[in-house]
Amino acid sequence: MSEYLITVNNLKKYFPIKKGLLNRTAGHVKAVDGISFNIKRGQILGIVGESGCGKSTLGRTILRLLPPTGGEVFYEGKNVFSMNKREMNKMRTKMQIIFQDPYSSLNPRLPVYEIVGEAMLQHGIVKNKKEMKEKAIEVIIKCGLLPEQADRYPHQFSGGQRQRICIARAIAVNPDFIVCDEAVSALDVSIQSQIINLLKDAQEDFGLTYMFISHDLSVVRFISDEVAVMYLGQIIEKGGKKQIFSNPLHPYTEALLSAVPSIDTSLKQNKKRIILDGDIPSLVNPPKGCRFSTRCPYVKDICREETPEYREINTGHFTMCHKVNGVF
Amino acid sequence: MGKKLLEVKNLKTYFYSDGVIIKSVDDVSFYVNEGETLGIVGESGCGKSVACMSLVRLVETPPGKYECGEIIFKGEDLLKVSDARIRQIRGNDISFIFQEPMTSLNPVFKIGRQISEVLILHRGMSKEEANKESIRMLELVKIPNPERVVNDYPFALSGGMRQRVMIAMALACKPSLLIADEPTTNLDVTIQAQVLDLMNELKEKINTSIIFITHDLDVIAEMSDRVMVMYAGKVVEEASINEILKNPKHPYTVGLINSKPDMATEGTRLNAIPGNVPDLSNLPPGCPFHPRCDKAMDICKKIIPEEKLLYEGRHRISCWLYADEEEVHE
Repeated sequence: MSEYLITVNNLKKYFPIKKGLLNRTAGHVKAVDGISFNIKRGQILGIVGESGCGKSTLGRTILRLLPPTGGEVFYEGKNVFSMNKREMNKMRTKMQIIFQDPYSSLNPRLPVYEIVGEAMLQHGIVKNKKEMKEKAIEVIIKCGLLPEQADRYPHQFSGGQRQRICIARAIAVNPDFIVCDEAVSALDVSIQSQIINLLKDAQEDFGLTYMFISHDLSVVRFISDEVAVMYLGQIIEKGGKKQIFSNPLHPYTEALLSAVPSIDTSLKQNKKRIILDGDIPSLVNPPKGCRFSTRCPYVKDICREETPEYREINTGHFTMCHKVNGVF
Repeated sequence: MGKKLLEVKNLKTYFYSDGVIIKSVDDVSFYVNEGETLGIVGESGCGKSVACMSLVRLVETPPGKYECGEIIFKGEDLLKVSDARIRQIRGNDISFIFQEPMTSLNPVFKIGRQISEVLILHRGMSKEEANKESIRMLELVKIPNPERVVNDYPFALSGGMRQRVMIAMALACKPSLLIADEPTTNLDVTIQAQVLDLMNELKEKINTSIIFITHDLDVIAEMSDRVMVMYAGKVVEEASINEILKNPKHPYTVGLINSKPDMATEGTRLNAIPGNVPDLSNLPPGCPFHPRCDKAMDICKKIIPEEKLLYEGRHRISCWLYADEEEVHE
């Protein structure tokens, strides 16, 4: 068994833009454009980036919820994209996802025990409805809800409780790998911390591996072992949590970290905020050369011409920048 | 600083629906000084937005009702003035920036026309003058190519740019009070940093007071001079930003500060506040926070604590834990 649970190799996902009467493809939104990384078993990889950088598409493509345009994803050495329907169906129990919005991701017509238990029955983990309900209640209790709440419907729960139901549904089928797509972003501050604790507990209890997608850097910093920073469909820096947060290499990471507001006034005083100019460019027509070149404070001519190499600077710390690579 | 621009006394805004009374704002008092930024923090449903909507009577009545209270702004009680007068004040003396820049701009009118409208209405400008002034305002909020943007429709702009347009519109009449209701919540961090920076810069330039509403303590810490924490329609604590961060008194404020991971949090677990955000139509008796409070005593379950001023009036608190501490009136 390899050390890595998930290996992503040059993954690409393009969405065609259809135009005109004949529905001709006029261009592509390159949401994920040549991404490679590994996740070690039992680790949490945080993915950060601004809206529209392709982080959710990355999560969904890895799980094959979206058909990939190119590249490979290996789960314990098995190629996920070359599996047939039956193999993939089995694989689905191993890989789960928790979505951002706990309001729209639960079926309003099903009671909680069916929401949680449906997949168990589908995949033959339980034999009949009676067993399903028993098992579902067990999982619900683990996620901090009461057994008598199993018969209720989603609308009877608050946002935080609904997210607990989503987590229960994900862990019910004994997965190894869960993609948390902005799983705590829609929640109130005091509820957010409860759910983060629950996710951490579940990870320890079941030995789970997470890919934790979020735009909230403080949350990612807290929960992750490793962090990857995405910008316009590419990972521009990846490394251990300490490496990224204490010693960011890429100018974008640096700016992103400095932009986070902080209640720690001592931090505030010796921190100089880097304000980036302009908006994120479009994924349809990303800038030539380094994609960050249009907003980078250190930009040189070469950045606008050549794409920098994705290189390992320190052990396990990768980045993609001409300045860091010592070109200038 | 020092002179009070706005003073709210014992404001109650209730909603009546299906025979249930929802006490969104329940006996709330606060003030804003000239040139000051007051931050209001709280979770969803704590009444922070309704409190500020009430200031210029933007709450729909019915189902809403201003039960009692006074809103003294430049010597006038805004709850008592005529509808015509309040319309003059809105947008002219007190203006708003909302959270959702897409829904608060009209999608079928050009940006220029939307800013001009304010100028023509409140400052009596002609169309041409207003158009020129709109371009100048867009320049002020650092929108590139303002001459082109005035002829754009809102959909052509990104979220950050739309929020800049909202700020331009809100500041068009140089209001003395700007109410910003979660203005950066939907924006990315790098864009949020741009917008916050801009707001601080403009505040100096135009000398406006700001009420900054957010659920994000970190943003409040960057923006405000003074902070007011709300919970279930009530003010639970109020003090200067440094005081609140260094010496939080109310268990809810302490919980809020501790539960949020920041860029320095270490360890494996967060100190979460247990329980859920309360349902305003079905509040527990006594202090509304007691079911979630780890320091709750018997009295908390029965009687709502009264507001007290501590430390020579610098710290306002409403919690039974501090019942014995000496109260000092201003």
